[in-house]
Amino acid sequence: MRIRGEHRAPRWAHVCVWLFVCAAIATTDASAQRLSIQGDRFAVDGVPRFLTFMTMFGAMGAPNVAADLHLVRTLGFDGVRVWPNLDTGPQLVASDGSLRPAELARLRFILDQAKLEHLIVDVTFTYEHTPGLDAAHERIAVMAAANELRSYDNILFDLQNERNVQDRRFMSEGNVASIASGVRSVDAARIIVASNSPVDPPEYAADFTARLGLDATAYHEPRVSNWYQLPIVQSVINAMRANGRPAYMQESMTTRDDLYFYPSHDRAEYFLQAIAYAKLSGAAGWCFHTDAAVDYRKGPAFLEDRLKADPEPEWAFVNSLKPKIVLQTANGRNFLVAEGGGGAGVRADRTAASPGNWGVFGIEALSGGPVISGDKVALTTPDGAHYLQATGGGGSSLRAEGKSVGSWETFRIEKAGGGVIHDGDAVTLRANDSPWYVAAEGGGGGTTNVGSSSAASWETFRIFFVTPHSTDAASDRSAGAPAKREGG
Amino acid sequence: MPIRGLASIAAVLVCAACGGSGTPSTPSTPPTTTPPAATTPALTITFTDNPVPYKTTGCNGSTPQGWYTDARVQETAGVAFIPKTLTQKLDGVVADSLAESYASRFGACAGGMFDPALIPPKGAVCAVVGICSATQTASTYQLQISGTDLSGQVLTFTSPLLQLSPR
Repeated sequence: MRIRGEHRAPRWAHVCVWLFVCAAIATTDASAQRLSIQGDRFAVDGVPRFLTFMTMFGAMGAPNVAADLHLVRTLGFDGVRVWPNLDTGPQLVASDGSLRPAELARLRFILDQAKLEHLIVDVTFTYEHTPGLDAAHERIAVMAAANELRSYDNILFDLQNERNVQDRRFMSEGNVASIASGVRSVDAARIIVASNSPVDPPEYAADFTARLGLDATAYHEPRVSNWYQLPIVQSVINAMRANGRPAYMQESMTTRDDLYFYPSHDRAEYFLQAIAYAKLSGAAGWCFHTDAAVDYRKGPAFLEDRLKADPEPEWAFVNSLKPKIVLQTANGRNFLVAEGGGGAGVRADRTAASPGNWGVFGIEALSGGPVISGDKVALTTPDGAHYLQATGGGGSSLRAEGKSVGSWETFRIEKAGGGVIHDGDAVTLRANDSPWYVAAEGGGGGTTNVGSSSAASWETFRIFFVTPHSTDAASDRSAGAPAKREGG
Repeated sequence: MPIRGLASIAAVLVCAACGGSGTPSTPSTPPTTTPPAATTPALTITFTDNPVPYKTTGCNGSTPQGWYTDARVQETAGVAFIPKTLTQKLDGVVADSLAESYASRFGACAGGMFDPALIPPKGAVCAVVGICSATQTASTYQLQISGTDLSGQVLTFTSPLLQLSPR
């Protein structure tokens, strides 16, 4: 007969378990994404970053939302835009303004999964989707949500989607202000916006945001045929930024819509240009507007299959966010190559005819978003385990031995005239803030170094993207520089 | 003939005479002999696929079409080899389009280690080899690795012909 409690674990074991649990919680919190605002930029964990979102309006009804969010993160998005009250359900808000408990738990689960994936969530409220819900009761609901979600640092609130459209979405400025003050009273730290549609110009959205003391200007860009081109994007963002707050391009042109016709929306090219020009123009964030994750009551159960169902623009666009490139040397014949695929030296003697992928590098703008001239970037090696590294921070060799991104693994990419880095552009890579440029000795065919203090032909490389990319013409194809594309 | 060569032949003849042709009167277990240690590295080069089919995907980052397969270079004599240069040929002619270094072409075999300056005794190195092209019409590929042994003796090892299947 066992004595009661005979095989209970000793007290020290309980202490260990609790220490483990506490450590796990601390680890989760430490690695969470904390969204904040620095001037006219969003910042994540204190570091300013251009944020790339994707619409997941129907996340509440996604049967595999954890897998979906993991995919979103893996593809390179920084966040998602969720409508917890979408009428495809389950809906968070009841007509009396109360939060439905099961649906609140569902929203918490989504936010927890997003936190695990280091994703930011734009929680957008849509009071028009609950029949009979008026602005006064919506205020109660949003305040309750603010209270319930106070512990989440990785979210922002859009108090009402397209509140300026004169239909059931409409919410007066006074009502928005009332909800905003209510949220502030519950959670002063919550980042809040209220989105405006292009029925009003961006200047209106900026003024509205400033008048109400909202944290960022959330605007849905004009649905015109050239919406993605630099002059349009630039003029919109310039107007949005006039209030000194972050310009959040919250809804790009939709990729498809059952009800309305939209122009210039059926190829990834439009969206690739739009996001790049948004970052170039100083936007704080941009959202890919697809309906792939709107209504999970029909279609595939996994977001991956839903995106793949549309090779253009969805699948092509979402596979462009973590670009892979090859770097062609000035002789036009050779490419940089990481010996062994990484973990060793870097040479410049790959050719266009060489089989294998040791010349294919990942490139990431450390400030987020597409790569722009002047960005600090990190380059990953084909083995997926290393980064290109300027030994000593420059003035020495180029290696492929970095295990994480530090100052030695940071390069500044530049091109003559500045602007978006396009396929085929001639670029230089400078070691962080040093004067040292990456060079292919002899212009290619041999070794490399980071020992040149001026940028001439040996320090100039043609960059070619091997992942989906904009076909917008390279802006500076200068004479004398290599232009032929092949290899890697 | 150099004196060294004559001496070798004499040694072989003497050895043959010693062996005799008669049957020993008393059966006995032959003495265990240890073969003389090799002093020269020997590389054996093999291809995973030979002939290698033309493929339309996966050759390199931006030219998906081509012929490619894995090559393994195995040192078999138990003597280290110092690789210096790699030469790649198409239809027996050195291919300028494949002019690249041994160090950037070869690496570790699965589960192994790689030192670009040395193939250790009984060691092996591996690479993807072939040619990526949508237009090339070659029918054979071959590689040569030149280098030295530890004493500086220059050696060149040539692979078998890799047959490139018609497109």
